[in-house]
Amino acid sequence: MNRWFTIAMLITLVLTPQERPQAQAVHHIISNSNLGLTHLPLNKARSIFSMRLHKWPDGSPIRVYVLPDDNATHRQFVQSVLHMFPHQLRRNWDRYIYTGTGQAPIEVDSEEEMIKKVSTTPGAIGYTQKELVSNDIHKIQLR
Amino acid sequence: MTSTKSNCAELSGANIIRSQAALWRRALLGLLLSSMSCLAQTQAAPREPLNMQLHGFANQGYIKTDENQFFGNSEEGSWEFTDIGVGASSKLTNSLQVSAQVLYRRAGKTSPDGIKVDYALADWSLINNADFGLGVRAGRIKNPFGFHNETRDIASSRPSILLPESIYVDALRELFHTVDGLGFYAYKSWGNTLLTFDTAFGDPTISRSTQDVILTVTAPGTLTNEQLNASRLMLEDHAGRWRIAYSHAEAEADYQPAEIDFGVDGVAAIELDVVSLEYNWSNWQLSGEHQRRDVTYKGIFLDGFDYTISSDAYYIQTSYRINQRWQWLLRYDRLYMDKTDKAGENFSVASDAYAKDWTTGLRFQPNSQWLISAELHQIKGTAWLPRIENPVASEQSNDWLLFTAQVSWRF
Repeated sequence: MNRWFTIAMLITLVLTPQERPQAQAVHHIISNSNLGLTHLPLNKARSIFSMRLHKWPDGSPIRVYVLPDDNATHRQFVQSVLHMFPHQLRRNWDRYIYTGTGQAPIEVDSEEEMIKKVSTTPGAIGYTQKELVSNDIHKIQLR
Repeated sequence: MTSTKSNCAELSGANIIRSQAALWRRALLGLLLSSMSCLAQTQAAPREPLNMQLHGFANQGYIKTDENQFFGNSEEGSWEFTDIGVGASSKLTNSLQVSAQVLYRRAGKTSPDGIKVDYALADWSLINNADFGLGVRAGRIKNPFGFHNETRDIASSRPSILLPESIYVDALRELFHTVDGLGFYAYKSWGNTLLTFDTAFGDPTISRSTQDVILTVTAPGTLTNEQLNASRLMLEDHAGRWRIAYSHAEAEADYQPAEIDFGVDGVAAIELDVVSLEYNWSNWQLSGEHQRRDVTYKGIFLDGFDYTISSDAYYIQTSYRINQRWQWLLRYDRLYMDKTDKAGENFSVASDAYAKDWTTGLRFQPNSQWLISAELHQIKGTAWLPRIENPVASEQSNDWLLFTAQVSWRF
């Protein structure tokens, strides 16, 4: 290989720091209580958060709420609950958004806003690591 | 609603009146699109506001080569590497989405500068269950092809700044990118695996510079009656650990000679078969694609001429996520234009027969909106070097370096 190429390769390898392991917290999926939902199969949850599935069985729209890509709660939820990488979800969303064949999930800035939106929006689904105090939200168990 | 209805009637009418080539297809498409949107408007009117989403992106790149020109005067350093896209989508009903995006693109002389409609389509989801779904699309549709064709302009969804040129050759980007036509898609889930099928067919876009690439010469005549279909069958793991795909695309056009033309009537056809593989393990990703491309010319240059050239290309690449912001890439990408003549003995310029490209790159993504990346290509051969930017064969170099850096922003 060319000398410059080898140098560039080495620089790119050496340049950057390693990722720190992060503390685990308990995350769970939440949904608006109008759905009467208590359980979801894991792959169905993945389909919903990937934005491929966009209708509940009764035909009403699924409204997916997420935190920003670089939010720690988002990253931990995707990895520990969906057992996926955040960049895989993003890749799915990008394919839908930039080919005009689907839409992006609705991004909220904080878990407080997430809980508020999910509790007030029919058909809404999201996630949190907070303990719930609202009757308008169901906590979903994955199967 | 009255004005909406009359607009709809005009829209269908305008499409029907369009003259000449591929008339029936365009008319059908127009009717379908306008009637679908009219139907949806009628249904959606009294209900909640439309779920409108806006999106956009802007990429500015810099390219420097030590020899050969790529995207402008890259030997001096070129900034002629820009994409700006803005789009919107709206769910008119739970099953019907309309979307459109306009794109400004500048890539040296390889694509005509200017703003064009990148896609504009209606997507009607007929079945959307957890395990099974299907739907149809109509309008200007991105072609399902390989892992990257549909999202090739979106910097953050590409593994590198330049996609492997052997397969996603920039000089033929326009031809294979979209069709004005119809599409169909379906998915089925079994256990942990998901099977998806996508297909699109219709009229591709062929501007003058693309025609020159297809015909390999600047001919005075015109390629007309162009049609293209592209299909992809993909099997993947629900968790996204692996995916495997087979894609097939066929494009065909008739050559219509000019009044003064050494050429004759004829047909040019390109057929592509691609196998794609990807495996993700921890922070590593390994992927590769293999393509066979047959280009056939009948007539055009000479009465009774019938010639097919089969090219062979693959790339294999690994990327490593150092952390959530930094990513490193290494790739080997190889193309033989004629798999029976790998050294180019029968080519007027031998190095036009092959291209072997080692690439390494680094990406920095501080957040989901910004991306800064840089990469270095070490290339032997000129098979995918744009002819239009390197018209003098004797000035081409067989052994060259290409450095590129890009800043991308999106919302």
